[in-house]
Amino acid sequence: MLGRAMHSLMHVSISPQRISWISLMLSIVAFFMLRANLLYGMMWIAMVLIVDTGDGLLFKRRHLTKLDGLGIEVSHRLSEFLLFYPNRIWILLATLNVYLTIAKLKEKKIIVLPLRHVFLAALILEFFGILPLILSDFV
Amino acid sequence: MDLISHLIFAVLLNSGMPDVWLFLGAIFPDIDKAVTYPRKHFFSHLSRTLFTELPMESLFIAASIIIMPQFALGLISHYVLDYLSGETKPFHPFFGNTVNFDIPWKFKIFVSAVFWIIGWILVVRVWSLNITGL
Repeated sequence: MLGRAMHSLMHVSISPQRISWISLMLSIVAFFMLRANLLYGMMWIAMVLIVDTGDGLLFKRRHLTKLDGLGIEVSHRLSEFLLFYPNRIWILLATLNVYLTIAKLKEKKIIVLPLRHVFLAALILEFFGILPLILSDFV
Repeated sequence: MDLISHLIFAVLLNSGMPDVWLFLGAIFPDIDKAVTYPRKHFFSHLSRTLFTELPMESLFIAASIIIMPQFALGLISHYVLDYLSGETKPFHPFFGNTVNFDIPWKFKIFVSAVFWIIGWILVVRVWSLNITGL
């Protein structure tokens, strides 16, 4: 099933960059959702992450160079700033991620922090009361 | 995008609440236009400097989130709108590559018009609230 999804993804005319544009638009919606309702906010963030996985997969399958993926990286970093506002710690980590991305693009063997994934996990933990008051800026 | 659209987008992200620091943050990245406009660089990545792009902008956001979060939201909103609508050199000065989503001019004008209309509605709403005192 995953193979079939990948096959259809390969044959769509949309570029990975265009998908990242859509993902950033979804991040704006997630920004509002997060403030309106934590559950819906988490669902939108999950959707953003799924769309981001789509542009990443398409990027890899088309064998594009790292610099071709510049737009995708920027879109992901901006999405982090949007989703993490106004939490200071997360915003500072997002800033660090900008420079990690630059180092990664310069061929350094550096991993960019999967901040939004961790953020979503933290939100889920908060939603179920396992990790209270960590992200209280949003609720 | 024009400054009015930047201001209105920032207000929308701030749940429709105007704020002086938010406004300042939303127009702050365009200060470099004071340098690029006299050189007749009006459009796309030519009108953008190191000051407007993500490496420098992220440092401004990091500094302002600690001191004045509304200013940081203005900065974020400015960069997001510029990135979605125009041509940017996102990792300048580390990389000179430009990113452009080829959004048609007509669509950009339409989006700007929508922002301007929303802005007028917000202004009228605030003004009528002040008149009626509700």
